[in-house]
Amino acid sequence: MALLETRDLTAFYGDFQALFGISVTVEQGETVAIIGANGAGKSTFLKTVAGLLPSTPGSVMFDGADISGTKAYDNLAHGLVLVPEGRKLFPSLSVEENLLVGAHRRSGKWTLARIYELFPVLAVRRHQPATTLSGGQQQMCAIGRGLMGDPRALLCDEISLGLAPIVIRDIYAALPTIKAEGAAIVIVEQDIVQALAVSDRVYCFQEGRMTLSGKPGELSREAIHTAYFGI
Amino acid sequence: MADGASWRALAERYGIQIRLAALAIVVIVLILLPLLGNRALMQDLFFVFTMLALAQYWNLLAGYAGLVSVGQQAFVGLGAYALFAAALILGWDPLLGIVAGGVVAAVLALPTALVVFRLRGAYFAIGTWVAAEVFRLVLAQFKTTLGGGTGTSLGPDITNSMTGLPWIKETFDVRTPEARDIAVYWLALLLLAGTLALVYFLLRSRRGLALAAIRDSETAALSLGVDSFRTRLTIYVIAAFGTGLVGALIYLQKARVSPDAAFSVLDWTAYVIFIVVIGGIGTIEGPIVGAIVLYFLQDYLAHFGTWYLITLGALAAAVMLVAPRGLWGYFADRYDIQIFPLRRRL
Amino acid sequence: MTAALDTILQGVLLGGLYALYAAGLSLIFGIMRLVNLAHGDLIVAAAYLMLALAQYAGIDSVVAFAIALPLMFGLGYVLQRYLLNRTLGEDILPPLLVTFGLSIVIQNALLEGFSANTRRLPIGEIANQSLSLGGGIAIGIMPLLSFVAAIVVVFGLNQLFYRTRLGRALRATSDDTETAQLVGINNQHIYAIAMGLALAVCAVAAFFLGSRSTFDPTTGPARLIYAFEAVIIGGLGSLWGTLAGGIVVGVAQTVGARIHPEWQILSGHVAFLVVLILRPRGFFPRAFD
Repeated sequence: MALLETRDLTAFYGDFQALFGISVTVEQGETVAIIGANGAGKSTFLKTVAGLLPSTPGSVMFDGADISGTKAYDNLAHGLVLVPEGRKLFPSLSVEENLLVGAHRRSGKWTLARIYELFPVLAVRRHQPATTLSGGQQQMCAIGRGLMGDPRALLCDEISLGLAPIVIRDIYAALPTIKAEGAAIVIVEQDIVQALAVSDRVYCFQEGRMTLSGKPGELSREAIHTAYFGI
Repeated sequence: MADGASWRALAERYGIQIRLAALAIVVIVLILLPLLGNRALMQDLFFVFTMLALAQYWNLLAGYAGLVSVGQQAFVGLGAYALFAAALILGWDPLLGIVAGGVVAAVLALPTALVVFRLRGAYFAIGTWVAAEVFRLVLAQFKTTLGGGTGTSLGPDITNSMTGLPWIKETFDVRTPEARDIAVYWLALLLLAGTLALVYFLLRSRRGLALAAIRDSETAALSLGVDSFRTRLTIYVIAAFGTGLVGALIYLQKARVSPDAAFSVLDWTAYVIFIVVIGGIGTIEGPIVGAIVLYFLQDYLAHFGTWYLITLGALAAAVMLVAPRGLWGYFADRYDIQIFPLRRRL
Repeated sequence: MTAALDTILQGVLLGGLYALYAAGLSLIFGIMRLVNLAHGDLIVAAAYLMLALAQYAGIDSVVAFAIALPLMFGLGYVLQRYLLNRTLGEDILPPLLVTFGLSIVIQNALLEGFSANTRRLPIGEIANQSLSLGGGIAIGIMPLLSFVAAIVVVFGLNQLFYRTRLGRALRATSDDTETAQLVGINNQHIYAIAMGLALAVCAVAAFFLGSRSTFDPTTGPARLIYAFEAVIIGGLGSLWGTLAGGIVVGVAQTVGARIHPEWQILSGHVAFLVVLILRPRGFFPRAFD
């Protein structure tokens, strides 16, 4: 049984339909990448799965249970964690407090010490207001905050957005350690190279529809190109 | 043959003519009402007309300009006191005193706005309340001229000297007290008609479009060059002017004023808000429905005192939660009716 | 000279009481951008609750206060969770109008239940006792205690905000309610907790309101206005600022009263307006709001 599964998932913003019947599966311990251009519906997808946006009954399954009616804060209790697009750190809280609040509802194998081990720069700046960090450091803090919730499935929304390549490499360097703990990871990325490099399977979205799926090694550049741009 | 669809088609084709004709009939009937000689009816309608006018101005501020004020009683009081000051101290004709009421309110609205506009949202609301309290407390200090905390009255020598009374007495063959009732009734009708016309044409104008833009998204409106501050200031002053006129008229009819009465939050804000909320915010028709509802509630339930007010408060809160567009809003949305059409066809 | 010092001292102590009125208001606005127009009426309702417990159950006012405290917390929780949470959103009208309606309901319900007579919370002799500071200046024990209470409340709330798990959750929710949900914070519940806290503070304020002076069902709106003035003068987002704001209003009022007894309340309003004109963001605004 897949850990996370969506069945014909649709999503609307008012009258505007953002997702047209997306069916995705994520197995335990897998890393799945979702690629696509701006507006393809990737973030909408993650938000709907996490419980921030409503979904029709039976369209989102987590660990065999129907979570389509569950709110995000309850999903977290079961280990479904979303690291949102744009970092979204809490400005009123320090770096350490942002990490601690990640464990507000649920905690487990990821402790402050282990997060600091993974991202040492955070330890140095632990008492600073979180928003005084650089973009890359903030992303590390946001991921750390997500890890504090002991995720069984970690959803990462565009963690490379707005960051320099070297910083992106540093962040993705942490992924193997996270994977080693057994969490399934879903990364939404516009950076195709990075996405293909770290994932076991990849899906491609285009204007709310899934246009391609498969293992990175099996997909040709041409196929990805077509699926990504829809030409 | 005469099914719903064809009636609708007829209504659409002759919409404007039908509306104007209906309006004309209503206005003529209301003007000729004194012929019935029913003083109680005229007094009741006086209440409905003045409350409705106040509600239209509050609605203009809150529903259209996004300025929720719980301090409009400031201008009712200022209008009332301007009238009394003009009549008692300057010896002016009460009719002129009513105009003075509007002007004084409008003039004092300017510095008031400059201060309270520094606040936003709910804090703006309380700020307007504080402003009203300041006016109330200051006027209560004028003991010799305006009676201080206990207030003062307009004697019959003043109220009976109003222009036009002799003509009314002759034409309708009534005595002075009834002539006064007719006079204030007509003034209320005139003020209400003026208010409805003003609000209607204001909202249809470019200013009105600017208002809608500001209310929907101030940043977007600003970026398009809409001067939010000036637009809001203009509306605030216009509302103050109208409220001042109505306030002066109301207290002319009462012929007795006191700071606590003229600046009463309950009478001039709570009831007004109730009218607009129950009837429907953001439409011209809404307050009309609300005023009628309030009138009947007042008539049948007012003697229950506190329970009446508890009911009103709970009802306003409930309507806000369940049907935020009020009674009129609910029906207008379902059946797509507009008596005072404001929406532009896109 | 002593007269001036005495006036200012009385004003500062009065400011402590106003800060107690304002602390709950400040807290709620900081966390959920909600201004409760029934805030003052809820303080008065708490005072009546204590009065009822004291008079009809025959218990000591302080014990009544101890009982009222958790009751007010519970009332705040329920009020927010099942009524006021439904008004939160983009539009400013619903919370304003619903709390305005609530204010009318509370005032009239109290009028119906307790009549319009002014009341006082019986606390015995301590109500009249004062402490002599030498040089002819004396301060009332209750005013002093209310000022101390204000400091304790502000200190306690700050400790709660900055050193506890709940405080972290409250601050996170006030920053970004959607992301707070992503870390497992149930915002409906958090808002209700915040309102519960605010009404608990109102209970404290009510105890000192009732024992220092008289109250009746219509006393609420004026308390709301003093609280609001204290919050604005102090600056949004800072509880110590709210205390400072309360002191400014208190001192303005006592100074005004000294000049002319009828000018007390007006002086408070004037001070508020002056600060609003000269320093619209107040004296100690938080950097981001």
